[in-house]
Amino acid sequence: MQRFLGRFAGTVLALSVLLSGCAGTGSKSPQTESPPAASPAPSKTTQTPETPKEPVEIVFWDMVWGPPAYVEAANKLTEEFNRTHPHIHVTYQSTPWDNYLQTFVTAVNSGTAPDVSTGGGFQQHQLAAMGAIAPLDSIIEEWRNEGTLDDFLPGILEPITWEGYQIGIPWQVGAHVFYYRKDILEENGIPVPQTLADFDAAGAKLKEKGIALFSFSAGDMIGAHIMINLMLINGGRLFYDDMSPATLDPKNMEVYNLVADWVKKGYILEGSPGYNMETAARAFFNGQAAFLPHADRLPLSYAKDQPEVLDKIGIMPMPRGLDGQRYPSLRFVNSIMVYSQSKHLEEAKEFVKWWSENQLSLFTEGEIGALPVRKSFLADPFFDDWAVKFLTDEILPNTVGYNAGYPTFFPEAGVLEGSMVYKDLLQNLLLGKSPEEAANQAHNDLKQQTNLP
Amino acid sequence: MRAIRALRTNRLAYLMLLPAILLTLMVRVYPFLSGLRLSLTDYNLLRPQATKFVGLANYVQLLHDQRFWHALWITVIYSVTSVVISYVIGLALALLLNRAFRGRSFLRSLLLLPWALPVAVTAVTFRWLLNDQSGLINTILLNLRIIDEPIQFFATPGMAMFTVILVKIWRNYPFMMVSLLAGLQTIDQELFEAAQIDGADKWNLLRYIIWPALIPVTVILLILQFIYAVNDFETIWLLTKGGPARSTETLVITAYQLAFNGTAFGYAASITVVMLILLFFIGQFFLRWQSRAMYGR
Repeated sequence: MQRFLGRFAGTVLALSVLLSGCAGTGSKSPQTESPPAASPAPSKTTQTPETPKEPVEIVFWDMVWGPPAYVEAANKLTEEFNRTHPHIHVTYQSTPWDNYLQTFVTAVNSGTAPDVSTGGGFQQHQLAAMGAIAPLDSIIEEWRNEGTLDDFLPGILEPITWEGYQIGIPWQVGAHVFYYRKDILEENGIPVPQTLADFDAAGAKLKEKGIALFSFSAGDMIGAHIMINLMLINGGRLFYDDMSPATLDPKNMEVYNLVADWVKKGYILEGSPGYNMETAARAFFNGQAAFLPHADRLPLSYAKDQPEVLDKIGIMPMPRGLDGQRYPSLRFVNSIMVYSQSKHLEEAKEFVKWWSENQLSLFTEGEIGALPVRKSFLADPFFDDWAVKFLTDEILPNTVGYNAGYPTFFPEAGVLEGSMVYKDLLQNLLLGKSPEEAANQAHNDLKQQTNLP
Repeated sequence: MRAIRALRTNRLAYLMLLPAILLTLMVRVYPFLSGLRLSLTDYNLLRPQATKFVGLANYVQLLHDQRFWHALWITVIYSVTSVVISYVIGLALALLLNRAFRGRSFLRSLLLLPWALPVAVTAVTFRWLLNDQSGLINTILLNLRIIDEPIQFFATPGMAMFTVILVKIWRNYPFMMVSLLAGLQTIDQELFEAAQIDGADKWNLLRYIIWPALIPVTVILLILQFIYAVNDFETIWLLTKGGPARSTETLVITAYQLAFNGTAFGYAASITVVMLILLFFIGQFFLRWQSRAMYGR
C-alpha cells in the first residue's frame, strides 16, 4: 500500500511538472496571424454604472532618443496621458538602441510585440513587410477634419506609407551635418570648404600643423551615415529606379576615391575606424580634428558642460559635390507606430494621436538632438537657438532620406541601416582597401541581403 | 527482456526523469531541428511569405562565400589563441596556487574576479580602459612616457584582434586555473616523493606525473573552452561588433549579422549548422587524443 501511494505521488508530481512546463508554448508567425478582433463594447445590461471599469493596458516601447533627461521627460508625459485618460493605462518602457531591430523582430515573431513603439527610420516599413504594423489612416483623417494636418512639415508624412497606408506618424527629423572648429580654421587661415574638392586644400594645411581634417565615427552606425551623406551630396544615390543597389554608380565611386585619397594623404584621424559617435566627437573637441561629420545636434549634447568648447564649434553649410552642383543631403525621419498584434488598436491609436500632439516637452526637457516635425513646436522659443536655426533654415530644406528618388521608404532601405554595409565600406577605405574592392564587397553584400536583382 | 525488466523495476525513476528529458528536448533538440529546417529554406524577414525549400543551396553558397571563409579563419585564430594562452596561464597559476604560502586564499579570490564579472561589464570596462581619448591604459603609458602617442586598440585589424583575444583570455583563465587546480589536488603526494627520491627534477615531475594526471581534466576543459570560444558572441560584439572592416568577425557574428541585420535567416542558419559540425570534430579530436595519450589507442 505504501509503495503504491509512493508511486502514485511520484507520478502526480511528475505529471504536474510536465504540464506546467508545457504551458504557454508555441508562437504564431506574424503573417498567419489575423488582426485581433475589436473588443466588443460593454453591454448596458451587464454593467452597472457603479462597476469600476478597468483601464485598457497599452504597452509603449520608446527608444532612447536622448540622455537620461529624455527618459524622465517621456515618463512624465506618459503619466500625464494616464491621468487625463483614465480608461487607458500606458506602461512606458525605455528600449535601448543596441540591436534594436532584432529586439522588435524577435518580439513580433514570438507574439509579444508592444502595442505602440517609436523606432528607427525604416523600422515601420521593415515590420510592415512582415504584416506587423497597423494602419494609422484614421488618425490622419481626424487631423484633416480638425484642420491641424498642416501643422506637419511639408512632405514629412508621405514617405511613412506602405502600400497606400499610413504606417507611422513621424515625430522628429534629423539631418547629417558637418561640424567644424571655428578657432582652428581661423588660426590657420582656412576658409570653410564650399565643395567636397575644397577639403583637400584644408587637409594639406591642417596636416602641417599635426591636425587631422576629419574625425570619423566609423565604428558605429554614424559611419554608415557619413558615407551615405557624402554620396548623396555628390549627386550619388542608393538605389536605381528598379530598386537595384546603386553602390557602383560612378557618382558614388567618385566619393569612394575621394575618401581613399584623404586616407592616403593622412587627413583622417588615426583612431577613426574604431571610434563610436562619442569618442569621435571628443577627439574633435580635443582639437585633434577640424571637421566632424555627425548627426544633427547630438555632438553638442556631449559638450554641454564645456561652454568653452561649444563656443568654438560651428555647423558649416552643406558642401556642394565635386562637380560644383548642390545636391540634397541625408535626413532621418523617425516615427511612432502601432502593432497589429495589439489587442486594443483603437486605444493605441488614441494614445499615438495624443502623444504626437503633446510631445513638445520631449524636446524642451528631454535634450533630443533631432527636431520636431510640427511647425507649432518649432515656433516655441526653446528652438530660438543657433544650431536649430541653422538646421531648419539651411540644412533641412534640402535633404532626402534613404529612399532618395522614391516617394516612400521601403523595407530594403532599412537593410542599409541595419546591415551596416556602408559602415563596412567606410572602414575598408580607412584601412587602405582599394575603392573598387571596398565597393564591390558592399555591392555584393547588399544584393545578397536584400535579394534584389 | 532484461531491458524491459529493468524498465519495470525502475519505472518510478524514469518517470521522475521524464520532465527533465522533455525539457531538454524542448530547449535543445527542438531549436536544433528548427534551425536545421530553417537552413534548408531561403527564409528572409523582408518577405517571409515567399519562403521556399531550397535544399542544400545555402550550404553550396557558403562554399563560395568569401565572407564565410574569412569568418572561419578569424574563428580559428580567435579560439585557438585564446584557449591555448588562457590554458597556459591557468596551468601556471594552478601550479603556483597548489603550493602553500601566506596569502594564498586571498590571491586565489583575487584571481577569480574576472570570471565573476558579467561579460557586458567586462567589455564596457575594457572599451573605456583602452580608449585612445580618455582611457586609463593610454593615459598611464603616456604619463610614464612609455609611448609617445596613444595606442589605437580598436582602429586596426591587428590591434582589434589582439584586443578581443586579450579580453577573452582575461575572462577565461580563472576557469582554467580553478579546474586545473582541482586536478592537481587529486594527485597522490607519494608519487612526488617517490619521484624526487629517484632524482626527478621539476621538469620531470611536470612531464611524467603532473601532465598525465591532468589529461582527463585538460580534455574536458579544452572541449568546453573551444565550444565557448567558437560560440562567443558577447565579447566580440560588445568590443568591436566584428570590426573594423570585419577583422574580428567570427562565424557567430557573421550569422548574427546576416540573420538580424541582413534579414537572411535561412542563410544564417546554415552557418550555425556548420559551426555545430566544426565543434563536433573538435570534440572528437580531443577525445581521441585523450584515448591515445592515456591508453595508447
